[in-house]
Amino acid sequence: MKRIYRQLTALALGTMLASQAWAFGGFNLDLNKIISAGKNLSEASKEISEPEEISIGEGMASVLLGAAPLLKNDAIQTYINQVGRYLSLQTERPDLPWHFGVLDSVSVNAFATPGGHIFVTSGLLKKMHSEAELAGVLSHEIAHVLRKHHLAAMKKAGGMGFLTDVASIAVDQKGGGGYAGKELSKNLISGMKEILVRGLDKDDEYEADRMGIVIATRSGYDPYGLPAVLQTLDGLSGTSDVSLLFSTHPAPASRLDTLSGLMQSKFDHYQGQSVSDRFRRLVPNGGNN
Amino acid sequence: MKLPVTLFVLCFACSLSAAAETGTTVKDTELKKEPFIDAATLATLPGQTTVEILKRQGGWTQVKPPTADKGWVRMLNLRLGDGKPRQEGSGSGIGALFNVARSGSSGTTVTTGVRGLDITKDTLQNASPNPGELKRMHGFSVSKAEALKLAGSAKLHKQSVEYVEPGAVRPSGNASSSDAPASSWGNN
Ligand SMILES: [Zn+2]
Repeated sequence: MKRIYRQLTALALGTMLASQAWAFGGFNLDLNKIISAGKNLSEASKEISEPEEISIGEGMASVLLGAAPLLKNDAIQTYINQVGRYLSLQTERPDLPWHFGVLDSVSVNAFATPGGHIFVTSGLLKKMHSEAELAGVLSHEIAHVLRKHHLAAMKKAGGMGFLTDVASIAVDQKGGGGYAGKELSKNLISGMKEILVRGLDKDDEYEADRMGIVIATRSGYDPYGLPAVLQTLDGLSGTSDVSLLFSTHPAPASRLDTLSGLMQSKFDHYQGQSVSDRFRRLVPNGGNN
Repeated sequence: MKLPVTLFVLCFACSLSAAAETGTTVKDTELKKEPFIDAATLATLPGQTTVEILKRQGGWTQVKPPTADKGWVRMLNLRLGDGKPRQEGSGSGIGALFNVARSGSSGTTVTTGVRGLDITKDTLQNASPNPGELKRMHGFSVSKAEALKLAGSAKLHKQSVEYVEPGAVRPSGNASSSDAPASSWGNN
């Protein structure tokens, strides 16, 4: 626990620094807000700011891209951004800087990082049959961002002192403490990896399933896209390609059981599109099992 | 005279099963004539019935059971496979062999394995941040207008749907339990 806490503290500090290292979005941290949070404990227990959230997410996205690069297919990368951005417009956070990417990996998985970075592996994409299935998976990941599930996992692991430490580190930064050197950045990175490897709260995964189905349905897709992918994943259990996915999520069969009653009573009267033609043009070997 | 016919049917079934997907019912499941809840019921398939999967349409899957004509069952009453427990590596064939051969090596440095990159706990722990690739990713972002254009070209129409509560559905199937406020997700 102590080790994780230290990593998370480093993660928070690194996030400050990351705003320079990964400053593509052109945002700035609101240091004054963090400093005042440090002066007031009840304030400090509030959520961290959106720019911080985005900054943490950019760092985690960069780590993920260090594990597997983007698939070298510009048409697919543009396509997933179009589908994902459209889905994000049907949510309560349409103005986050949403970014979507297909990772070049045989592993079957999808990831989100705070503030709007969403990833699907090419291995998972090839198992899908339609745009509605892709929309279902993206919507599940979008829900993790909407509900700040990763930040909740960090808070849970880091304890109540986490945010006050963020604040005090921010003060140091403002005072010209500067970059603490390579050791820090190593700690920062391992803190991010810790969250990626440990996964999220199981209840948050079920919540993301429920919300994901709603977001896809709102967008006009077949509500059963996500359940169809879960059915495919269930059929892959026992293979090595799904080992990380299975260790970080409830079993697909449990997720399907949980959705079963909900789908029948709530979603059967919605007509949605599966949009399989253009999906198959872009992912010609889709549906491979 | 009956034997050749039987053989033909058997062989036809063989050639199909090579390509077709199988599924297994998780509980007693009504086989419907059409993919609708109030369509005629052709049969009731007991749980653990293995069927051939033909296609999916919304929440329904068209199947061919061994003892009845083809029909539609609720997709969520099916699990893929024949219901027998699967074994490690059974589904990946040669891929599983490569995995063994590469165990212990860092996936981040093996850029062109025959199988491609794995993302595992190990490869994540060994990964270094890749800000260049992050920048490339940001280059693919699209505007709201571009996103809406793609949706329009697929005739995707927005629908009004509220988020649903975890306990909103009771096994009894009692409807109208959905009036909980959307804000009751709690706050983070
Ligand atoms: Zn998830």
